[in-house]
Amino acid sequence: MIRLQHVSKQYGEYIIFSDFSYEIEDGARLCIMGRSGRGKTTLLRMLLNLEKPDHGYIEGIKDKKIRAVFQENRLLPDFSVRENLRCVCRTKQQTAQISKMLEKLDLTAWEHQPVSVLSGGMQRRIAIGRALLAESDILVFDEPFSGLDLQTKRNMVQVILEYAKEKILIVTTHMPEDVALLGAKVLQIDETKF
Amino acid sequence: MVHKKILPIVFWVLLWQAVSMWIAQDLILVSPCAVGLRLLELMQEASFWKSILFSASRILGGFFLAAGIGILAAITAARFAWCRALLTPMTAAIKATPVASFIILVLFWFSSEWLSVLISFLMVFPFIYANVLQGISDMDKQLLEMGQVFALSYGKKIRYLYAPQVFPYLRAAFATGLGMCWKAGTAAEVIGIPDGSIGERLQEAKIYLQMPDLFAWTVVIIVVSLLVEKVILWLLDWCDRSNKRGAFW
Repeated sequence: MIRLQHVSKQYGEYIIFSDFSYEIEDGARLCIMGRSGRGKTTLLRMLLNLEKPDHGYIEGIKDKKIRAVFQENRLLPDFSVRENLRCVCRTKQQTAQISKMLEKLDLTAWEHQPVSVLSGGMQRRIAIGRALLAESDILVFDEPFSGLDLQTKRNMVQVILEYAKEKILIVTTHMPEDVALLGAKVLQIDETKF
Repeated sequence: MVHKKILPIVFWVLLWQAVSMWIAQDLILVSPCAVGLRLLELMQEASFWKSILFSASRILGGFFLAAGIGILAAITAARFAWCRALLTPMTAAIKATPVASFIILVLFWFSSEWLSVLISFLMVFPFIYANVLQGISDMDKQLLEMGQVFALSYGKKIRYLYAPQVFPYLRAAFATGLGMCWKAGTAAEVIGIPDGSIGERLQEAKIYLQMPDLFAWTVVIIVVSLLVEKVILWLLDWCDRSNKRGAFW
C-alpha cells in the first residue's frame, strides 16, 4: 500500500499540493485526472522519487521497484527497438520475454530498426513495453495513450492489464474512457490545493 | 564523389609543378616529380621505415596516453567539483603555453628519445579532457532520470546513456588531436633531434640543404597522419555502431 501523508508541494508561489493525503491499495488501478498544470505529473515524479515533497511524506515506496512511462518517451534514439527493451532487462528470463513483448506491441517487424526512425505512436508503444518488461512492483504511466489511435489504445490496455496483474498501476489521463478501459478508480486532483 | 576529392589535389600538385618549373631552382622549390622520385628512393631504405615507426610509436603513444588520462580526468571532474576546479586552470595553462616552451623544458628534464611522447600528450590532453567533460555536462537529463527510474547498472548507464551522447564530443577531440599531435610531435623532434626519428631526418635535410628530402619527409608526415586519423576515426565509428547494434553484448 502507498500512503501519501500530508504532502505539500509548491513551485515558487504556485501551490501544487497542500496537506494532501491519499492511500493506494496493493494491486489497485488508479487513474489520476485533472486539468493541465494541476500536478498530475508532479505527483508521479514524487512517487518515482525524482522530486521530494516540501512537507509530508510518502510511505510504501521505499525498496519498491517503480517503473514508469514518462510523458516524453525517453527512449534511446540511436538504439534499436530490441535494445531499448533489452536495456531494462536484468535476468535471462526477462531478456527471453522481449520477442513476446515485441509481438504484443506489434513491433516485431521493426525490432532491429533504430527508434528514431519510428513514428510517435510506435515510440509510445515501446515506452509502454519497456516499463512492462522491467521487473516492477508499481507501474506509473504518465498519459501513456497520447498519440495512439483508439484501436491501438485498446490493444495497449489489454497488454498493460496482462502485465500489471497484482501490481499497483497508476495512470494519469484526461480521458474518461481510459478509466473505463482500465477499470480503474479515479483520483481527481483539482481539489487537492487551495 | 572521388573526383571531388582527387581533382583539387591534382590541381594543387599541377600548380606546384608549374611554380617550381617557373622558379627553376630546386634549392628554393623542388618539383613534385623530384619529391616523388626521392620518396621512392627513400622507401627502399630500411631506415626510412624505422624512422616512421620510431616517430609514429611515440607520437601515437602520447596521443593514446592523453586520450586515456583525458577521459578519466573528465569523468572525475564531472563527478567531483574540486577536481574540475583543480584541472581547469591547468588545462587552460597547457593550451596557452607555446609548444616551443614545453619542448625546451622537456629537453631539460628528460631524454630527447621520449620528447615526442610528452609533447604529443601535452597537446592532446586538454582537448580530450575539455570535450569529454562538455559531453558529460550536456547529457540529456531526462534520459538520466530514465536510467535512475529503471535502476540501470553502471555498465548499462555507460553503454546506453553516456557512450552515445559523449561519442560525438570524443570523436571531435580525436579528429583535432590527431592532427595536432603529429604537427607538435615532429616539431619537437626537429628541435630535440632524437636518434632515428622523422624530426632528425628533417633536421638533416635542412642542414645539408636537401630540399627533395625535406619535401619527401613532409609528404610522409602528411600521409601517415591522414592515414592514422582515418583508421582511428573509422575504428571509433565502428565501436559506436557496434555498441548501438548490441554487437558487444
